[in-house]
Amino acid sequence: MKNLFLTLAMLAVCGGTFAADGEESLIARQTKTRTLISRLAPSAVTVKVRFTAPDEDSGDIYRMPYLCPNCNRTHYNTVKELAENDTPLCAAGYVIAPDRVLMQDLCVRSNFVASVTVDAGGRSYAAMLVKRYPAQGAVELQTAQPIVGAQPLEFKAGGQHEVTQFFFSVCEKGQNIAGVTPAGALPLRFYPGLKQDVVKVPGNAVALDKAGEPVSLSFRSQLPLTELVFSPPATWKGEAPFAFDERLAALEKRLRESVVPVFIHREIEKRSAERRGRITFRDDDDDEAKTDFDGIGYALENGELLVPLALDASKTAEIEKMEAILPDGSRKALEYVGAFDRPALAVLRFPDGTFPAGIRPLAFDGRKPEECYLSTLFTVSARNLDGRLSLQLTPEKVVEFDVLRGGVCAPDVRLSSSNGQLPFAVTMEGAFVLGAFPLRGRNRWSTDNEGLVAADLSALLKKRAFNPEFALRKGKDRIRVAWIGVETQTMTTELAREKKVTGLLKSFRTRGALVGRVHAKTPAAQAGLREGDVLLYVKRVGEAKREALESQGDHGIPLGLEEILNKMGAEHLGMVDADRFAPWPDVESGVNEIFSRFGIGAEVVVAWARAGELKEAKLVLARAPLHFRSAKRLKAKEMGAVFAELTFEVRGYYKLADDAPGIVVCKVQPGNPAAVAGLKPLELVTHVDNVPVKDLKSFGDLVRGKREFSLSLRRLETTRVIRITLQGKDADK
Amino acid sequence: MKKVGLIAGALAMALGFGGCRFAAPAADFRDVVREARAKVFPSLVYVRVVCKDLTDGKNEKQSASGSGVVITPDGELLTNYHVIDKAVEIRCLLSDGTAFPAKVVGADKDMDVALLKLQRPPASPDLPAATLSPDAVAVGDVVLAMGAPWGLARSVTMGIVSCTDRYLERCGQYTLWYQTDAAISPGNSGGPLVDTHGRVVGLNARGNTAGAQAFTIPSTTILEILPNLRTKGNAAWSWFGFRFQPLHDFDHNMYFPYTNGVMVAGTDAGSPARKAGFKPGDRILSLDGRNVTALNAEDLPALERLFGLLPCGKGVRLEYERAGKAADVTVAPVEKGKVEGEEKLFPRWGFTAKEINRFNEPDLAFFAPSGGVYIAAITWEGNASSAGLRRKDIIKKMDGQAIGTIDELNQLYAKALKELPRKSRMDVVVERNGRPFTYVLKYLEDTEKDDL
Repeated sequence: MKNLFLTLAMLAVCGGTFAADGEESLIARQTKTRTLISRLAPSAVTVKVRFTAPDEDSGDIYRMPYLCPNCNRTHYNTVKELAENDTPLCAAGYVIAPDRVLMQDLCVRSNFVASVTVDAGGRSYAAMLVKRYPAQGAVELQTAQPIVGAQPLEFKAGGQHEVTQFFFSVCEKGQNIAGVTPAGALPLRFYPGLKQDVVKVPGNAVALDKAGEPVSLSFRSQLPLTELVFSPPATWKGEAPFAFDERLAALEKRLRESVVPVFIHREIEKRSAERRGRITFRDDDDDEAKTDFDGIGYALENGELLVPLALDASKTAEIEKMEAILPDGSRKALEYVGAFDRPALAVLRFPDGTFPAGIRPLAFDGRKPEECYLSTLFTVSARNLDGRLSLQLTPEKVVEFDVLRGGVCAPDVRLSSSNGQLPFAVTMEGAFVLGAFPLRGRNRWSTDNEGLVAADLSALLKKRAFNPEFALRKGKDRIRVAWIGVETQTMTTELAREKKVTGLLKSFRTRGALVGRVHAKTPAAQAGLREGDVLLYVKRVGEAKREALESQGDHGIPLGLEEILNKMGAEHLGMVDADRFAPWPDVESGVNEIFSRFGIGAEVVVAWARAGELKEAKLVLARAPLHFRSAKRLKAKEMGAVFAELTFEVRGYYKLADDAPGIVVCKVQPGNPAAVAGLKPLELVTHVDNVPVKDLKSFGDLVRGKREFSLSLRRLETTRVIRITLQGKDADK
Repeated sequence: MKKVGLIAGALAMALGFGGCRFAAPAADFRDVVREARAKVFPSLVYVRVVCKDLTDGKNEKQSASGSGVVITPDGELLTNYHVIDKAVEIRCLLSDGTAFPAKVVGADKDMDVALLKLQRPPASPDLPAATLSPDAVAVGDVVLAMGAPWGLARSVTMGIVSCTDRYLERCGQYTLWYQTDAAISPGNSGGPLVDTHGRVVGLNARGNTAGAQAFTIPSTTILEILPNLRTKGNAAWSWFGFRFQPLHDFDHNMYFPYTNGVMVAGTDAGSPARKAGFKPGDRILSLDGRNVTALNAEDLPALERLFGLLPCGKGVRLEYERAGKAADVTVAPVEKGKVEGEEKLFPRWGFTAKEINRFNEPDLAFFAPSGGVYIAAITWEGNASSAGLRRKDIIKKMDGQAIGTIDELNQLYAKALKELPRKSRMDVVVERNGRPFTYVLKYLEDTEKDDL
């Protein structure tokens, strides 16, 4: 409300000024303006800036924002676009001495600038940057020769004079257009939450007093009302031309101490294909199989790193290895502390809680967002290119504000970029102002993200409200499958008739699932479920909503599996996908998927039919035991085979005792020593060189370093011994 | 007809060998071949059988033909086991044009050899008998194959021995094969392979319709089991339960660093070898002091015969090496017994059930170690296949009744047929890959009837 009053007051003042001038006739005023323009026009020249992409990869991804001197808006182009089109950026410059020109600072890094020329009187002069005026947002250029015919502006000496009009020159389609605009018409703006009121002034213009005498130059497009004072350039405080680049370099150096490339590896459950994920930490649906991730960590206090990591809980559970890649290229293992649900941020920690040399915490900007107004922030796009940190810093002036989730006002800087990285913004000193962070469950093309300002991020970190769902899990704990301990079979209408459950199935709208086997010491066994019962539905205790229990397509035998295994030659062995062809019952079955939706530990009511009668039992869903798909696996690259730990259903299939030694072959790569020696998927490896194989680890220990060894194998009743000879050491390099 | 065939054969031989540098003068060689042929040809038998075929889950009578050779004047003849397998009627046509029925004296599935006896009237004259050669042939020896290819009786083809010790994996545990390029086609099975001295050197067993290579059971091997076939009705193999593996295997790039002995790949459950404590990876060095060595797979059949023809129940001393330490143990083999279970068709149900035999169905025997019945064949679009039953399902229960033998199934089947149409469905519990599955078998419709 107060702001509104101020606006009205300002407008009234302007109106007053106009009224005085308004007494002149229109023609007289126009003649006066024309005289003024023609007097000042020889002082305006055209500056042409050409760009270059300093290196191949930055040109493409570096979207360069520049304040367009012509339309006063920020444009974004990639440096490559500007460089390739060879379109010079034209801007008006003002001659202040025969070889000196002042123009607006484009805030472009000097290594992106190929050349600067000054065009005047049909001639072109090579120019170079000699001085910067950061407070005024101007740069001073020096031409190689004095500009012929140029009329240096002469500013009124002395302190501050009232500015009533602006002379401007814009470059449109190669033509300079000059004009005069009265200061009284300047619109006043105010932003919610912002204490200062802002006047939009013509950027890149000459400020004139009432008599039309140049008072100063104006290069900023918006000014706080309190700063609407102009002093001649001679009084400006300049700095060395490359001070900006030096400060940028210093900033980059500072950031490199706080932004750390991290590497995360997870052991995946479904191993049909293994791929390396790069950069994106987003939880892509189509990237189930990604195992290795390159990411970025922001150094916090106490040796902790904040890592944007959008893996879901089950994938987080599978994380095996976390490493920070230090500036010297060495790798240091990290510990997992926890992860927030939203945004998707994980906190990792250096083992002893202290940073290695050369890493220090990222500073947080203590200012309120609105205080950033008109200050220059740097958006940082950090990428981990295979362990090498690539930083792209883009200066941006805060002129607009954005409202984030929760009504937080934040500087509107560009926090999304074409390469999918989510950048963050820092001050010139390297203090974090705001950043965009990933959200879970979004795909690669989603632009959704969560913006957080420094204060909110600190509050989030301080609370440390980690979601316990996102935890690393070892072995059995890794299983996310809930079960009650039954194996089921697909129901048919005939079976339903035979089991006298047709009516029940109809009334509960389910196809049901026939219980084929009940495992001992499981919730199902305790609840009294028996072979031949028909599962009907499951619901949460105290809730009415029922979920139908159905088993689909469970016929218990992969078609032609034995034929494939018996007849297929070594050259085809890779076709047998143990995950798909496994003859043992799959724990990740349709029925267990339904249970998993309720979650491990959920209290549920399970209903089934026995001899046509409905039975119900209250039970707690248990965590499914470690099974073939989730068991630890070992990829023996040189041998060309993948092995898995024996799990309960594999033991059941092979009729092995719980403690019987052995591992099972998951995959055999054609053409490799294992395939040549006749190793086949789904076989058990019981001995290496007649020493029993206890588990994967002992297998690894037994074959490590050996070039030749024998494996005792078993498939059902058939046993045999094969001898694996690895190729020469030189060959496998 | 006979004469035309002969002349044509002789001509072909003359033409074939005329251009050969090392061949004997054409006329002489013709004589050699003619003499050889003449010694065996009168003993050649054309065998026609009627057999029952349950492989499609239907009871179909098939007629098949094969060849045979008379080896004793009183009418014993040799043919392949697969020629007379499941035969209900065997008829033999001798080269002199007379025909007699025959009955099986002894048969061995493992070696694919059967000894038949012609059912001739008493006091019939002696038949011309061929001699089984006790000597092995050599690669390059000229051989004649006689028999009835494609049912064309009294055919003779000629070739050379291409290989004398062919090992065919999963095909003949006890025998190596002669490989020959003499044309052998379906119907030649059981016919003799004859050398230039007119002796039977083998029994043609496996042709190859696609290529020119055929496989013959060597006479030397047959002679080893002939006494058992004659007196015991089968080869009477002794069973240790060893699974042997040679020391060298080029195909699998596998070389155990030894020069003698044979690797034990494994032992069968419940076998004397298992009971004696043999483990995979043991290396057997000697049998009663006699060195046993299988360097390559080709050495295995002889070893299997050596072990298999030891007298049952009599202990032998086996010297072996385990993890570098030598030891010895005395093991007595037992009778191998049946190598294939009984099978029976249940047409109304639409499947053929068969008893699980550890030698014939080792994988099923693993899941049903104490025996059982499984679905060996299933009628396409029959009642069982409509119910969801599959081949190789082990039948555990039918209509709530535990099933362990063909007999039990038979009784149930008879009862089921009697109760038709009042009761026309029953549930079947099968074990498939070690997992129980339940299906409902409906058999009101006689799916076979439409076909007739």
